[in-house]
Amino acid sequence: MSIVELAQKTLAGRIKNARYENPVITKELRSRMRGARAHQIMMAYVLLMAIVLFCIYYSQWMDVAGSADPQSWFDSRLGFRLFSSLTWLQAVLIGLIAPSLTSGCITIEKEQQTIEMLSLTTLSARNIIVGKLMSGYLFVLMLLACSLPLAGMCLMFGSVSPAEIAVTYLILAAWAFLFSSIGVFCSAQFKKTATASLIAFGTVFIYAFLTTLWAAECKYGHNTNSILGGLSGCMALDHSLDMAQVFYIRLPVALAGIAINTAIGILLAVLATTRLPFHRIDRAVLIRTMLLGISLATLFLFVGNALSGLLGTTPGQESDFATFMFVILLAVFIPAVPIFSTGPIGKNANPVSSLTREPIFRKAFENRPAGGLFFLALWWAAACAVVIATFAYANSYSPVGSTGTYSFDLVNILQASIGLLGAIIAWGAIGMLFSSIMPNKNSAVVLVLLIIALAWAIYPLMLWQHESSYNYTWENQSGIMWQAAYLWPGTTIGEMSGGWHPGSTGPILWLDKGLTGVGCLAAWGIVAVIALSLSGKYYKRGRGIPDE
Amino acid sequence: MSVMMRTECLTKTYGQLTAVNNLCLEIEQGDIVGFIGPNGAGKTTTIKMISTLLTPTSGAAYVADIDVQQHPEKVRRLIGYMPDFFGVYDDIKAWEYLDFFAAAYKIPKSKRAKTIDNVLDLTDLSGKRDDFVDALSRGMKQRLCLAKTLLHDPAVLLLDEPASGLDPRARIDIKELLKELKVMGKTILISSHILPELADFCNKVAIIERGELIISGDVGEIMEKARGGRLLIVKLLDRHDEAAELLSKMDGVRSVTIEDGTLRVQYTGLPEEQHELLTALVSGGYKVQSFSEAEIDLEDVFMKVTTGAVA
Repeated sequence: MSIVELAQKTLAGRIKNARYENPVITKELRSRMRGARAHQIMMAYVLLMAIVLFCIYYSQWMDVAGSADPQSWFDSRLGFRLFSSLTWLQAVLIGLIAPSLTSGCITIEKEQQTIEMLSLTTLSARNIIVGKLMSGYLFVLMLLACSLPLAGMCLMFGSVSPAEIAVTYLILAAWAFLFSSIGVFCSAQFKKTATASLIAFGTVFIYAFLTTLWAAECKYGHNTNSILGGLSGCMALDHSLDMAQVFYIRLPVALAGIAINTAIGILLAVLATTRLPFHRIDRAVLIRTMLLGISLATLFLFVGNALSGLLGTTPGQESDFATFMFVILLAVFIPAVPIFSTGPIGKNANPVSSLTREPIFRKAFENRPAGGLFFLALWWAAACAVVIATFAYANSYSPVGSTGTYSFDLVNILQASIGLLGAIIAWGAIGMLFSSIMPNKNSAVVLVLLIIALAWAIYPLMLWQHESSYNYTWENQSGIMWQAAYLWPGTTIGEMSGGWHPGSTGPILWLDKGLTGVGCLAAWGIVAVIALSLSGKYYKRGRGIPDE
Repeated sequence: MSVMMRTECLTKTYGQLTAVNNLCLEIEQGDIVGFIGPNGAGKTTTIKMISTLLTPTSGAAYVADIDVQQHPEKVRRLIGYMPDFFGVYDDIKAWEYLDFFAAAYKIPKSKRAKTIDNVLDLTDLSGKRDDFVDALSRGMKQRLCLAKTLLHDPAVLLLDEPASGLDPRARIDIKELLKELKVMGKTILISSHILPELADFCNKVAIIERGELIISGDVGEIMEKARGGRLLIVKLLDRHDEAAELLSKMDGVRSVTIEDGTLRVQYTGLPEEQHELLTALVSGGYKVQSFSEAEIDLEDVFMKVTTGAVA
């Protein structure tokens, strides 16, 4: 047999076998589309939007009916207004429908006790999750398609272009994909449909609220042309054809929004495959790589874009922006630390020795608390590297329309990074401690979060001590409370913006202002050592989160 | 015969509670094993561990020499598991339900329709092809679940209380079905806390209580072992006491009791020498009305070997 024949044969075989079949999609769609229910939902969906569009059109007609000037019709940009309303309405409806279609997909199987039989088939976890996700998502896409005639009507009124409509629909499709994924993930993660739905709707609401707020700020506030304006489906039309500057590159806002929403959706779907009961798979490497990739790419886009215009044409707000960046990093790490640093420590492995056994880089992708701790450190290093590198680059960069360059105080920023690392390590060590005491992961996560919350609750107390002796004298500033305030990364971060304690000469316990980060790291390091040694002690007593 | 299913010191603990303790079982190909124990004895836990749904705390289980923990996917292909409690999907017809599972077991599209027809025939559900599964009666759901379990033609069947909660007729239907499966040469582990439903067709029995395997082996052997020999029932017209005295002196007789004009003789001797008891009675001039062996009854055995601590 010649090589060509062989190639033809294998290729033909490939194509023949490539007919994709997912039994879960078939089954779900069979029951979903049965009877009148699915058609009633479609009907209600289109009818609702038609009514709203009619009301807007009618009010417009009433407004201009008396006017003899036909120009007022054109000035009102009726087509844009109608399609903008349609987009808002659809985005909100998707936020309600997409999670409700998927947030029960696995929990109902758990509640009706069908999950065991499903799991014993040869379907892989990926088959199941893809099937459940797609059967929900395809239905939302169908609803979106049902609204196309209405979009066509908007087009006829002018002032909105086919390109805008097409891109808006793509943004809405990514928006729907993300929300379907959130539903599937919650369904795989939680036991009861009620809990899964509640968490899914809560997450969807918070995400939609924050991204829409940001997108509106980008449109109507002073932060124009933000690269992250395309994340929100509600404001999809407004940003559909916008371009944003990331350093010297101009990127379409919609593309960034679609890419980030889709990537998060895929990440959640992959995460969901690891949460299915009776399927023991470890995708820590893939998940952590994706998490690193998505978070760093988003961070890079945001920082680069902010430096290219968000900060304004006149440099001078660098320290505030640096503080803002670190507050965001802190907000990401506070929930991430307990999630990654808790879990089963592993059979016959002392928590302390589990930290030192394998090569670090492989370890960072190991699905154990020790691996989680290394991953957090890696994540921290990568995120801070992106921030510091872009800031360092920005120190020679002129923002659009300006002749001056930025001047970030890199030493301060390094201090804040190191202080943050100290907190991450200590909280992570506390996570390991609770992993070797508590019987399950959830309670360990909650306890670590409680401890972090408690720490932040008493933080103002330290500052209050400091503020009460506002007319600075050397004695007051060396007071123990004042020193202790430096244990919180909030102080080093706040200090960057300069407004924290004007005129301070710095604490003495940490030697000098230039060493606050190191001092913070050292102090938290002591906390970490204590927590780790305690965790080794408890682990010997056979407590802790068991495997599975 | 080759060993189809094997557990080695299988143990499952939940905190302080030991659900299954050091369970060692060996099931050969073609065996129909009754897995008997009171409620909460650890039957379901054991079956779930063998069927890859639960991870043992220690020990191991093998199906066709494949480690259940190492290669759960391979084992899942070999076994058909029917849980004690299960649900069915809403809004789906019987054939669609089976079609879904057939596809999920990767049965090629061309063979699917025939396979579905076969299992529907076998479970006597052909008439219910187009009925919605959530509207079927409990017995039919149970049969449908069994049909689903048979789709991929598994060599080993793990049936957890397949007849629980059914009315007598539905129970007999399931029994008939199991007998058919026995003929087909499947290896079956079937658990129950109701004994008579197993007695007919099991060739082996394993009795479990409080997570411990109390006894296992051939049905007949176990009965004898548990009862300490056979029980002979002798009916006499009169002179019961004298007869009892005579018999209790003979070889192989362990004890003799008198109840309502019948003698109940515990006999541990050889079956071939059993007739000597009758000869002795007849030649002694006793008016023997009947001389018989008591029916073997799993329930007696069960009551004898278990203590009822968790029932």
